[in-house]
Amino acid sequence: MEQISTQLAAQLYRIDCPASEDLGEYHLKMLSGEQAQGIRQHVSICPHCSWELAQLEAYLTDLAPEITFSNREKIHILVAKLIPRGLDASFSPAPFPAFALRGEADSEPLMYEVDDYQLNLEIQDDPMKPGHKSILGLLVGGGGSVFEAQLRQNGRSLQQTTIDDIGNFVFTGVQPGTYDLILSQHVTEIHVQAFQI
Amino acid sequence: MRFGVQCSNCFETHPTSSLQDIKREILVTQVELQALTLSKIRHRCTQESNRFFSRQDYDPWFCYELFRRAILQRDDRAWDAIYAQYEPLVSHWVAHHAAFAGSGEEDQFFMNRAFEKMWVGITPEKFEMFPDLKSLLRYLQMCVHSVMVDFVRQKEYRLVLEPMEDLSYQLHGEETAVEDQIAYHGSRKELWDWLKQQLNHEKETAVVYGMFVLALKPRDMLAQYPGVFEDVKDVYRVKENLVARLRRSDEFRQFWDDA
Repeated sequence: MEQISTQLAAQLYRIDCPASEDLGEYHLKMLSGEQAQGIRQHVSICPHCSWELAQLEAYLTDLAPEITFSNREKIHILVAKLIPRGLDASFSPAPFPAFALRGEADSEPLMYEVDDYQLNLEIQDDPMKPGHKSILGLLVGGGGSVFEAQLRQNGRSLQQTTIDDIGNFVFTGVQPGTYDLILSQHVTEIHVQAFQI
Repeated sequence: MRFGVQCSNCFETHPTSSLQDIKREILVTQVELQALTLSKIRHRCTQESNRFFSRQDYDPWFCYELFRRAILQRDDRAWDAIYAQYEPLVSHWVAHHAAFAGSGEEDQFFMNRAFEKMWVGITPEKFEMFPDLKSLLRYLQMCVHSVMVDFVRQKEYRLVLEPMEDLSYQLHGEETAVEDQIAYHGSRKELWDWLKQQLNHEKETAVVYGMFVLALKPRDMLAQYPGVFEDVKDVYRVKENLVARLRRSDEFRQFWDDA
């Protein structure tokens, strides 16, 4: 008896569940009225499909900002400009005592500015991860606002950190390459585009 | 920052005014885009995507044109360009999915299948349902979820099959009536259709659907079918009676063959 039950369970498990892509197209409202009605009825009695649908909805909602700006039009986006070397004498932020202890910088720090903000990026070898780099940043002019720093590459967010009270932030274990940096607070974003490590 | 559609030279952006204006301008834009070479479209798609990812004003129609050529013209080179352009993004979406971490698979495995699903899913006839790039990328995100769900479903199905494998092992050493001959050779659908006709009342229907199709535990059956069963014992009793009847059925035997 138990064996027959087991066999039946194996043969019938989710036998009338729609294919996952049909569930997806149902969610995206791409199905005809009749098809949609069939899936609607099924979902109302199938906890598995109901869960998969809820999961899809949450997933798409979560990823929505990656394909649309939605409310971001309200955000003031500032694109930071690199200050050519030799012209950055006016930018003399507070010294970097912490950085000095961490090792030698690869080259001159990269200096950026936009509006009242000034940003210094220093690239160093990462002592904890050979072949990788650390990015040591200092943002000046934030006026005490809490900024988040996000390191991105090819549209993907790789690392995120909070800028501390005096404007410092660090990314470690960064592979050589081209990156974007976004420093954001409530209504302002400072973008540093395509800098090389 | 304002977003709008491109004017005919594809470099200026106008704020949108009305749906008709949008449609007209899109039409003009698309006609001109269609005259551009694939390599030019591809290059501009990359440029505009980079602008998008750095959250600047951007023009989505170059990338949309890549999809249009890939889907409507079944242009393989356009598909290659789409794959190259969106591979990092789709890989990120895969890694972001709740089912990925425990899958034990590389992101490439799911990513390839997601692109395949999109390729199969969006036929030229369906393309008109995608008015803009956002809708296409949303479909691609849906395909990522779909391949993850397929993977999870297969995993769950293997768990359902596990007791059967144990059973098969046991049967080599035992002689029973029906059970030693239950290697199944029919189609699942035939069995399902036949079985539905054998059910005598609501409780049996609920047992077959709830316990075999949905794999619910007897206690969960009470919640799934409120008012149908008196208690958990009632669920067991209905199930045992049904299985005993099936066991005696010649027709049921015919669904199985000698191992």
